[in-house]
Amino acid sequence: MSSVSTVRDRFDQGALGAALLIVFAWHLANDLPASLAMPNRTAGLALWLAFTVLALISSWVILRGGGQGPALPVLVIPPLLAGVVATALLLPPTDQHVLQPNWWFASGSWVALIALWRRSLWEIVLYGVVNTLIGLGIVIADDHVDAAGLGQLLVLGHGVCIIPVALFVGCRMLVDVGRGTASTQAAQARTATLRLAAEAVATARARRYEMVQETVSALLGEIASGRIDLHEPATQQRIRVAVARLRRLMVETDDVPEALIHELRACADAAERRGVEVDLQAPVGSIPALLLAERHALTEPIIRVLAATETHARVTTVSNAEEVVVAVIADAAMPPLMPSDHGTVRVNYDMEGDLLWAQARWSVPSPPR
Amino acid sequence: MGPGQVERPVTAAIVEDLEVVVEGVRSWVAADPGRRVRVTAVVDTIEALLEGDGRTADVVVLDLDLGRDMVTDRVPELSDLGLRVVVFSVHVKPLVVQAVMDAGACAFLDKRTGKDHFVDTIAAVAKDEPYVTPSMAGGLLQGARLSEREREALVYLFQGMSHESIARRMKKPGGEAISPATVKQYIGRARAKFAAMGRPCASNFALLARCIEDGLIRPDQVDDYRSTPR
Repeated sequence: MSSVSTVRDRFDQGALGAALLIVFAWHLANDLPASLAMPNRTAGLALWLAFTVLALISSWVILRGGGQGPALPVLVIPPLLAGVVATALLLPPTDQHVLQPNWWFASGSWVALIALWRRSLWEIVLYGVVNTLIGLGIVIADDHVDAAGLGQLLVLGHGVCIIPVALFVGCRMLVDVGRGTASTQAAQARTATLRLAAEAVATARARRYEMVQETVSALLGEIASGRIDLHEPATQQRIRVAVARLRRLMVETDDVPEALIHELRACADAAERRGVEVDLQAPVGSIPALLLAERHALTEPIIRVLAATETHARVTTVSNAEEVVVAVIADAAMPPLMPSDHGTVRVNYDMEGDLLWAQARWSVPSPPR
Repeated sequence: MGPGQVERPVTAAIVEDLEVVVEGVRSWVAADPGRRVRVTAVVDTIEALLEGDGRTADVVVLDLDLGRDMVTDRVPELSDLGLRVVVFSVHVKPLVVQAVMDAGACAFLDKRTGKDHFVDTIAAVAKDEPYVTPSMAGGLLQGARLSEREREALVYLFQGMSHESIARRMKKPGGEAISPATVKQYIGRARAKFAAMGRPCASNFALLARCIEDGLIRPDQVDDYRSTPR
């Protein structure tokens, strides 16, 4: 579900970015000239700076992921509301509506929106209501309690309140849509993964059946029909190879860190069960990730030699990032030779006295030119 | 052993708590036609070794499992006392081999294949020769900076080949097989590099001195190897 929360966060960050852009662009383009136009320019600038500080604190906390608790609203909202009154006190009498030149009255709502970004909707609405009531107080104090004055207050208050609330609600809806879309996508991805896994399991099962068919079924058929003599060395070799392959087949889907060694152990185990002493050495170096077909090509010569071994064998693995060398030395007769069944694995056999040496070397494929 | 001196058998102290293993070792020693090794002490603890006659033996053969304890961490102490320690164990994982060799052991013998190498190893270690057993080859492959030929020789040795078999498989540029003496050189040089990069202790110094004397490495190469932190 982490992808769902990531998408949701991305939607949230996008809406927050838009709100911050509005706050600071408006504060620079509208509020600064309005502050400098006040009769007491220094006081106007001080008000503008105080507003800037409140906006920066709110942005910093919200951008760092905070603002869920009451600390930020408690710190920022009272000064924001007080700022409306302070601005009204510094403005000269005007023919316009008393709230028209009060830039703090309109801009304060946007900072409140940032400060209350992670709080509930009703707190934003409450801010709008209190802000409008303070505006009403200013209108009354300015003695403009007539139909035109109150009507303008309602229009201004409505604009000041409704736009941030609309953005807040819109953002929440967007986040919910994003969360829903991401959840759907995650569910689809899960279904696709499950389908792929099921297909992989089915393919692996089909391949295993095929291999069992190749390795064992023909042999069992020949034994059952009496076409082969179990005392023949060649038959015994075929049976031993089949047994080792079956043991390898049983472990090759195990989820283990060193699959190649795990499979070699299964091959060695098959030989040990008929009394061969197998010295399977711990690997030298880290074995890189190999494909199943590559592991097959590496273990196949070992299976063949171990099946032909009389009494003892030593199996070793030396590897690094570029190559894996699996070798066996055993008192065994040379088995029927077969070419490696994978292009990246080279196999060598050599007989010296009564010892047979076989080595399978996997080399990292060179990149295509 | 300097020129003119009479060659005496190498004395060996065995630190082993399994009687059956000691009997096996005695039989291998007795079966050596050259009678190159004489067992002078058999003890079952390191303390008994240090307090008894075994302290003066040419070589100490140490089993890593004594009673319930693994004594891997005592190898540095023994090598610092100037003892030539040959570890004799079933714990043949290359990392374990590398660790005890790093700690100053002169050689590592796999208990399961010790019969083939035991006397040769003890005799070589007593003379500070860079003798490498197949299980040691695994540890050296993990640890030392090796040339391509040294690595190839060690891989074959680790696989279980004799020097003669390795020589047959390693070819000169012209396609001709190299000699077993050259194989011994490659392996000896790899062993010397490992000693030069390991702990500075008496056994490593003696081995390096011997390698320099035999022309396997030059004195200036010792510093070169040691300057690489392990």
